[in-house]
Amino acid sequence: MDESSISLEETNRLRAQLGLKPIPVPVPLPVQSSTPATASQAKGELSVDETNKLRISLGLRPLERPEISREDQETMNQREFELKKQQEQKAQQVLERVENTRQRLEQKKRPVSVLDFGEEVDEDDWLNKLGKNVVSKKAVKMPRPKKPVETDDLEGVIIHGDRDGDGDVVMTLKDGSIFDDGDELTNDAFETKKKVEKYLKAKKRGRDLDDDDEDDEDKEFSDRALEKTRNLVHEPIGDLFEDSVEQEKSDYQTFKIKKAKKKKENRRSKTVDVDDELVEQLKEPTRVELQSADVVEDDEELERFLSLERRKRLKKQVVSVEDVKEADNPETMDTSESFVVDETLDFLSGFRPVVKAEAKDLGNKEISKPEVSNGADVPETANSPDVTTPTSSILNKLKKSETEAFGSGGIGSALKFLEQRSEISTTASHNRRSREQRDAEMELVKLQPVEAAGTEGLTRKEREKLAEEQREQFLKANAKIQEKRMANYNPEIKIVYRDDKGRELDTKAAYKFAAQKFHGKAPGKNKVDRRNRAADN
Amino acid sequence: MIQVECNDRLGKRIKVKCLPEDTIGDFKKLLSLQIGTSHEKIILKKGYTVFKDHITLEDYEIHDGSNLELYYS
Repeated sequence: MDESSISLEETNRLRAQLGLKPIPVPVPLPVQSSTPATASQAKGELSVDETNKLRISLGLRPLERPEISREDQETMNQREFELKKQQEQKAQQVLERVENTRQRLEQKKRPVSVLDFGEEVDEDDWLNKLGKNVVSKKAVKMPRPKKPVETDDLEGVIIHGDRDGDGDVVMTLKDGSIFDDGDELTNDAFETKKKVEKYLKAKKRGRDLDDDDEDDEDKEFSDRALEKTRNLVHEPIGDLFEDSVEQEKSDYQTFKIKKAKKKKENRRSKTVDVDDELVEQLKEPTRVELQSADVVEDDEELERFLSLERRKRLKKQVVSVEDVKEADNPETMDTSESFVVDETLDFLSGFRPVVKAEAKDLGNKEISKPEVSNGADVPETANSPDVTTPTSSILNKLKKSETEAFGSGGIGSALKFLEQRSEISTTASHNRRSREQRDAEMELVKLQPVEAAGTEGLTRKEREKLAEEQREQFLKANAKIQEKRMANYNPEIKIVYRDDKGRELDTKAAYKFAAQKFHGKAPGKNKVDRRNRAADN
Repeated sequence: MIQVECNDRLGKRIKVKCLPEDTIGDFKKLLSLQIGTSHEKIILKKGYTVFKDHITLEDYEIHDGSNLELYYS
């Protein structure tokens, strides 16, 4: 089971990310009263003090605090105190150790005098070595330890490169196998210096270092070499290791440079090519001009052609208008009695007369006759349905009206003419419609709801009510008309049932036949035969 | 501050520190940050009650140390 929980700080960080308010960090309060109270509050319980307060307010005896808890607190305090003490002691010890090691390091860094050296050597030995050069050399220079120094305080820790440290030296743990007993401390600067020295020597001699040379390494370490190394140390180390680094670097660099050069060259060449092309193009202005000139000429030609076409069309249109005028002219019109089949005329002839209900006639319940706007005296053919107008008279009328209409010209006259035409057509198609029908229609027209006559000052509801009333009135009138119309309707209806073979059946037989067909049953063969025989006879 | 434990019975048991006045939605967001699952895919249950996002922990009477069932949609 993977049980995970994160700390309060992390939780707060996450909450800040989400834009939630951070959880308040509990401040450590004095142990005596706060901790049990908070614990009890978290559990939803009351502390003893709070319970006591409540009990007092209720008039009950306050609860006594258990002594065990006091003892527990005392022991806890004791433990905490001991822990603190131990921690302090540990810190003290660590400080002391650090101080000791620092002192020893300082002692070792201090230049060794002849006297100090002499104290360590026995008198006899000193006397023996008195006349020899070696002694003097050794006395002047402190023998450097070939092996890493092991200090008492840093037990098992080997320190490299402490000999040339001027003051505070930064030591780092040297990489090594985990099976090694002790840790090794090294100085970065010392390491690099050592490498540099080794490298310089190898280069100087041009051969590998022998063991003897290694022994005398310190002696031959002259000031000149030191100066050189110092100068070299300031330079980046990477440059010094030419053997290892330079080859890779050089290869990479040359490759890169070559590539870059190539690229540059390519780019340049490309740009040059493009430029050349451009220049060549620019050098041939005639070509460009020729092209543009062609285009322009084409355009001009096209435009000229188009304009000509337009003019022609305009002329045609003008001519057509003139033609129309000529046609309109009654003098030029063909007055022969031949029929001209025209779609528009047919369409217009289908128009019914515009009926205008006059307010005066409403009171008398009389049907207004269709008015003709031209005011010409039209014979009342509508009132005499028996009289049929001959076609010749109609044609005469037509001619007359046409001459009247188109004599003045204009749309108004044309409309009047149309109205006339429609009137005539009505008279012509009189036989098709009965007078009763028309009367009924007229009545209905009269009863049509008149909108926006006096409804401006009314509210919406009132308007709706009025419309409803009008509609009801209209429906009633319609019903009356229908009744009137159907008053004389008395048709004779005779229902005849027939079977599959077309023979007539009476009601009972028809019912039987229908039922059998519906249920998918049929009479027996004998019965059918008998029936057939009976029918044949 | 309260600490609520969520268990998905599949190997995850997470303790989330939160406030009682946090909504279930906020709690889910905190939880999602701890387990790495999108908060939209987390379903918190207790018995047959599915906790709704807009209601606070204290309204659901979720206290310190409460255990919630963690499901994924």
